[in-house]
Amino acid sequence: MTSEKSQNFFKDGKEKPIVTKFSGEKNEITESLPVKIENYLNSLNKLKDESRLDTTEALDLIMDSKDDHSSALFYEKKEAINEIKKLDGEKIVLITDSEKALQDKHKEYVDIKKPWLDAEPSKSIDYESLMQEKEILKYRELKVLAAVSYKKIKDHAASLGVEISGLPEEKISYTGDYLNSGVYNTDSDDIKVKSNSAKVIIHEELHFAGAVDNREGRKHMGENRLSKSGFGSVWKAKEGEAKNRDLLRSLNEAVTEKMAGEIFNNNKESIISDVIKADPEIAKLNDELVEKEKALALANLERYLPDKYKTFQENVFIQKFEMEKLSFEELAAEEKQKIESKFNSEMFDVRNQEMLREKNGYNNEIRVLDAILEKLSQARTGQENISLDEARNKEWQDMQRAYLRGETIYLRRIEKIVGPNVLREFSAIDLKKVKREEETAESYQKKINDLIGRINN
Amino acid sequence: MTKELDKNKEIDDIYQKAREEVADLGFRQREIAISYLKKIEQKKINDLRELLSKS
Repeated sequence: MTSEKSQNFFKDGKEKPIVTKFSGEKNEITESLPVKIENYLNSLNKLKDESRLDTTEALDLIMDSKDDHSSALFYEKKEAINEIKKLDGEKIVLITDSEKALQDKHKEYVDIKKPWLDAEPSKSIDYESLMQEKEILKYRELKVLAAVSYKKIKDHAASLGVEISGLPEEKISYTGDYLNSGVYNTDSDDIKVKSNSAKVIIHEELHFAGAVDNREGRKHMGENRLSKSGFGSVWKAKEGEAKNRDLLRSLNEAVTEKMAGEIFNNNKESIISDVIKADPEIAKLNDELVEKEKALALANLERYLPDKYKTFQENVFIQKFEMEKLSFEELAAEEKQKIESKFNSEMFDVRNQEMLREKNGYNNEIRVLDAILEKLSQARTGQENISLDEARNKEWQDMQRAYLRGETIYLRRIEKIVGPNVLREFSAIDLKKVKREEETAESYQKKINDLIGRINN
Repeated sequence: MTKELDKNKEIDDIYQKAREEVADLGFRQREIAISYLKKIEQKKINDLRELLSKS
């Protein structure tokens, strides 16, 4: 297709088309160099986001792979993750270097033509401020979701006769951590999450609620205990020990995740409507920003499409991505469709489902917890002359109450009925060691199965 | 005009090179992830074969 044809394609009878001519063509240049550089810098900025997304998606593919063979492929997994991270680094360097080179060119040109450039509105400012607004709105949504989720936890605690306090929405922010979807830090009392997922937020907020010393403003927890939340506590390393001791972490995470799952499932239907009720503007603002960004993307498409088509014609991408050879109209329609569907999926009505995306963790730890609860319930049936179902219900409620009140005295019941070494053994099994690659998944799994076997006998 | 065209080509090249190489590296990342997933699938098949041959 000739460049004249491509111009006609963009004409809709209302607006004058924006056309980028290529170097080497005989046509005159219709776009000023500084504006062109700014557009490229804008595109590189977007490329950064896309590149990050590629990395996250590749890592997610590996991390989310449900396999029973990961232990056998332990080193392959480690190697694949390292290689992906290494390539991510290469991409960042590449984009940063290109940005620097373009900025230098821009400066060079602006120095000569400054009076003229000052009269030109910068197109990149629009995009920058739009991204900032999006970021602010995302934070606002996170904080509303955190407040709504904590209300659900409060209601659940109230049904158990426990009153909990605190405002986690003031302490929550995002993390860039690839490995953890969320984390609560007992020292700083902060919650960090990867995305706006109600399930993850409820899990971390339970740690926040269970940190009763933080909630009640108690600073001093004894000479050697550094922090405590629910049944877990961190103790200062003894002489000769390299790390502080994270005691009862596995039990604590299992109780937290089991409780989080129940609270989330019981309230799934009302979470989004409660978020909208709490901040009715969120949906409207989100959709307005999406429309603005879509308009910018479509305008940008007009600038880069002739360029992309030329690349297609040179078969660069056809060989790499096995794309069919497209006409200019087909390519334009395809690109427009991509933009339409990308931004449709970002409209609040569609995107809000992210909040309900369920992420289940600590499945093995919950299996151990269930075995402990079963043993306790069986003992309770005989002690109180009640049915096994009633005993299971009462036992689980007692355990949650003790967790939310930080009453570790409850654990003596486990030692007495299930066995004196169970808590120590459970504490020694730590999923973190697998994540940090200090232990293989196979050895961790074996320890879990052995412990469940001992509890059941 | 020739000078203008040269500058155009220079900045086109910087951008194109970044875009193509980043796309290429992203593609390689995906290939690594997929190759790992294929290994898992192959392992499953091998395990099943072994199980069948024993039974």
